[in-house]
Amino acid sequence: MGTLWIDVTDLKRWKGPRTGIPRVVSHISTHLLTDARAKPCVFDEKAGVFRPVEAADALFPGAYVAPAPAAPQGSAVIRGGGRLKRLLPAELRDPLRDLIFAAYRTLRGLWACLKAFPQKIHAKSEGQPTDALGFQKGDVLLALGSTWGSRGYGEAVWRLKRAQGFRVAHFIHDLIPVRFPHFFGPGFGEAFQAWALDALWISDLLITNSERSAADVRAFAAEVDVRCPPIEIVRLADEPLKVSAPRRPAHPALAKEFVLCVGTLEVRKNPELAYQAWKLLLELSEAETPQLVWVGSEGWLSHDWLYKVNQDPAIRDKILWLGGVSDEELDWLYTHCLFTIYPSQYEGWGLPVAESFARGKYVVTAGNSSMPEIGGALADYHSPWKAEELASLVARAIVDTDYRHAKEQEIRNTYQTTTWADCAQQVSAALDGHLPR
Amino acid sequence: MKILVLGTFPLTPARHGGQLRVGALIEAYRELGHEVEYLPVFCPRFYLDSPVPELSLTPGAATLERIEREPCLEDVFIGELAVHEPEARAKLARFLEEISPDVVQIEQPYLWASLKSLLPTLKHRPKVFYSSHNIEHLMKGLVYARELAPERAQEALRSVDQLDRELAQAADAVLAVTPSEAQTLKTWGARQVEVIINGATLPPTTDAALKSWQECLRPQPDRKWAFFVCSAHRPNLEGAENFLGPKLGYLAPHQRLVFAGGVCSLLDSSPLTGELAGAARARLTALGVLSNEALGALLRLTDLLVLPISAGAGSNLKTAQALLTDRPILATSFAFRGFEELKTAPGVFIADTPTEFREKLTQLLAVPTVAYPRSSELHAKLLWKKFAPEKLKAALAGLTAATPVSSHH
Repeated sequence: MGTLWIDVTDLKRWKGPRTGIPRVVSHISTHLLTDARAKPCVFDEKAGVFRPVEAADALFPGAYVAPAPAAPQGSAVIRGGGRLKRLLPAELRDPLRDLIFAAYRTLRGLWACLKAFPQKIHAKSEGQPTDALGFQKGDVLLALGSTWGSRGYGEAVWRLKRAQGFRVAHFIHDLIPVRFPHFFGPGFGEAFQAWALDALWISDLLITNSERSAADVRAFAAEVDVRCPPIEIVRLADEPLKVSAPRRPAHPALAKEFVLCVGTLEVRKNPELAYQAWKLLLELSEAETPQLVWVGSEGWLSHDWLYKVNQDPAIRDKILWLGGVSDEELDWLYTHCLFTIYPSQYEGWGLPVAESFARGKYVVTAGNSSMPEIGGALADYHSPWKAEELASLVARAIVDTDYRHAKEQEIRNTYQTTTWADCAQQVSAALDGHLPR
Repeated sequence: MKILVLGTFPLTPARHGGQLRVGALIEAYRELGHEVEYLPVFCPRFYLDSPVPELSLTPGAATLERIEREPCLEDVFIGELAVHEPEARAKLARFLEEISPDVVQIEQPYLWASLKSLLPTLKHRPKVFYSSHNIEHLMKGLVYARELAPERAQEALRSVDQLDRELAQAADAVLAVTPSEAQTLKTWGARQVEVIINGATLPPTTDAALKSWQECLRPQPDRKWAFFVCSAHRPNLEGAENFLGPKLGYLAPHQRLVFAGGVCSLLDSSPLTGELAGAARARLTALGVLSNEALGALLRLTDLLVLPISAGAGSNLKTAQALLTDRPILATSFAFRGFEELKTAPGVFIADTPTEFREKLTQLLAVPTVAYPRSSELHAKLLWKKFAPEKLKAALAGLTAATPVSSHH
C-alpha cells in the first residue's frame, strides 16, 4: 500500500493570512491528511529532495501571526496627516502624503525584518533537517501549491521519479502567465512557461479547477508538443469562512453602503475598468454611487493605479482599497456589501464569484474565462474591456433593488455550496481513479 | 616563395569556418617556408571586434551605400571595390607592386573582379591560386531568394556563378574543399585542382575551464546536454530549427541543448525561441561567442555533439572538429560531405529526417554517455597541420608546368 505524500511547501513558506493558493493547499491537505496513508512533505530546493514534516508543523507553522485589527493597511495610511496636513500649504500636501507613505512602508519593512530575526535564529537552532524522503514505488506525490516558486522543482521531481518510480499528481491552478505574460512582472511569464513544461513532463495526473483551465493546459501541451497527462477537474470550495466573530474593518473611510470586489490588487483583476466604471457612475449621480471596496493584497503592477485613485479628488472617497484584511473582516464585508463585482480579465477559477453566491450575494462579473462556468444564469456579465457595460450593470443593481433582491433569492434557492470536504473528496477520488495505491 | 592571400574578411578573431580555413592554409604555407601576407578587403562594421590592419582595404562611401541597400551582396560589392572606387584601386595596385608576390591566392571568387583588371598592369605578374570554399551559386541561391526580389536574385546569382567559373578557368591552380566540388571546378576548365578538405583543431583548454563549465552546465550529475556550435550563418540555424525544433518540449526536464557561436545572435528571431520562448529556453541554453578555452572545454564535456546541417556547400569544419573529440556525434549525412568515409567512425550516429534526428537525440541523452576515443589515423585525416602542407606543396609544385594567367584571356 503506497503513501500519499502531500507537498505542503507553500504552507511552510507562506507568511500571512492564507488566501488564494495557500488556502487551497491548507484546506485540501487538512482533509486528506486525516487518512493515515497520507503524509506531508516539503521540497528542499537547495538539495533537490523532499523531506517529511510533522503534520502539525506543516499545517500550522508558527511563523503565521494574524494582523492586528487596529492597523488597517491601504488608503487610510496614504491619506494620513489629519490636522498637521491642514496646516500645510496645498502644494505641499501631496508630497507630504507620498513621504508619509514611503516612510510607513520603510518602517513596516524594517519591522518585518526585526520580527523575523528571532524566527530565523530559532529556525537555525532547529538542527539538521530531516533525512531526504525515499519514495516507494507505489507512492504518489501530490503537489497542490505554487511549485513554480521552487527553483529546479520539475527537474528534481523528474530525477527522483526516474530513480524511485513513484507517481505524481499536480494541481494546475491556471496557466495565465503563459497566455498573458503582460499581467505580470518582467520575466515571470517565461519562467512560468518553463515550469509548466516540466509540470507536464513530471505529472501522471493533472488536477485543475475549471474546464477553462483544463482547456488551457491541453492547448499548452499541444503547443509545446508534449503528451498531456489525464486531467481531472475539481470544483474548489466556496463555503463561507468559519469565523467566530465577524468584524467591521476599523477603517475610517469605509462607507455604510458599498460594493465589494475581492481579489489581489493587480492589473489582471482589472481595477482600471472598475475605476472607469465608477467615474461614469459618478457622472450620472454622485449621491447614488456607493463606495467600491477592493479587498486584497497589493500585487503585480498595481502601484500606478493606486496612486491614481488616491490622487484623484473625484474618486478617492468612492474607491477604498483594503489590504491585509482578516478572515473576520472579510466575512463582515461579504455580509454587509450591497453586491459584488469581479471585472477580472482572466481567471483559472474566479473564486470570489463562487464565494459571493455562497453568501447569497448577487455578482456582476466579466463574462470571460472561467466566470460563466461558476456564474451560470445567476450572475450578470460584462465585457472586461467595456466600462460602460460594467457601469450599466452596477447602476441597475443599485437602482433596481427588486431586480437585485430577486437575483439574491434565486441564488439562495439554487446555488449549491461546495465545502472543503467536498473538494478534498473530489481530489481523493481523482487520485484513486487514476493513481491507485 | 612570396604569397599574398586576398580575402573578404579579417582573420581574427575567428568566428566562422572561412576564417579558420584561411588561417590554417596560411599557417601551412609558412610551415613549408614561404613568406605569406594576408590582405583582407572588408567592411569593418561587420567585424566590430577585429582590428583593421595596415595591410587592408575598406570600402568607401559608394560601396557602403551599395551594401546598405543589399546587405546580402556584401561580398560581391567588396569584391568589386577596385572596379568602382579609384582610390581603392590605386591602393590595391600599390600593395601588389610593393609586395610583388609570386602567387596571389584569392579566397572565394569575389575579389577576382578587382584583381583581374589590375594584373596586366603589374610589373611582375604573379601566378593566381583560386582557393574555393564552396560552389558559390549553390550556396548563395537560398540566401538571395530570401533577401532579394526574384529578378534581382537571379541576376545576382548569375553573376556570382559567372565569376566562380571565370576564376576557376583563369587560375593557375585551384584548391577545392571536397572531391565533388573539385570535379565541378574541373568541368568549368580548372586545370590543376588540389582537394584540401576542411580540417580542424581541437582548441586547448584548462582544468579551471573544465571545472567551471561542468558546474555551470551540469548542476545535477544526471543533467545531459547536447552541443551545437556554429557561426551566424542563417542556413546553419535553419538546419537546427528543422532537425532539433521548432518545439523543444520533447526534451525531458534533465535534457538540454547548448548552442554556442555566432548562431546565438540569430535566435531571437528563430522559431526555436518563438511564441513560447520561456518553454524553449527551459531546454535551450545559448552561450554566444566563446573563447577558445571555453569552446575547448565544452567540446570535451558535452554528452553529444549535434550537426543538424542540411544546407550549404563545401565541407563542414565543425564535423572535422567533432571527430577530433571522443564525444558521440549525431549528424545528418549532409554534415559529412567531404568526410563520407568517416560516417562509420565509432560513435557517429546518422539521422536524415527531423523525426529520426530528435528520436536519436533523446535516446542518446537518456543513456549514460559513452566516450569514443578515435584513432590517430583518423586524427591525421582531420588535423590541418597533418595534411594541409602536403596538399599546398603539390599545388605549388604544379606551377612550374602552369601557363601564365594572361594567356587564358
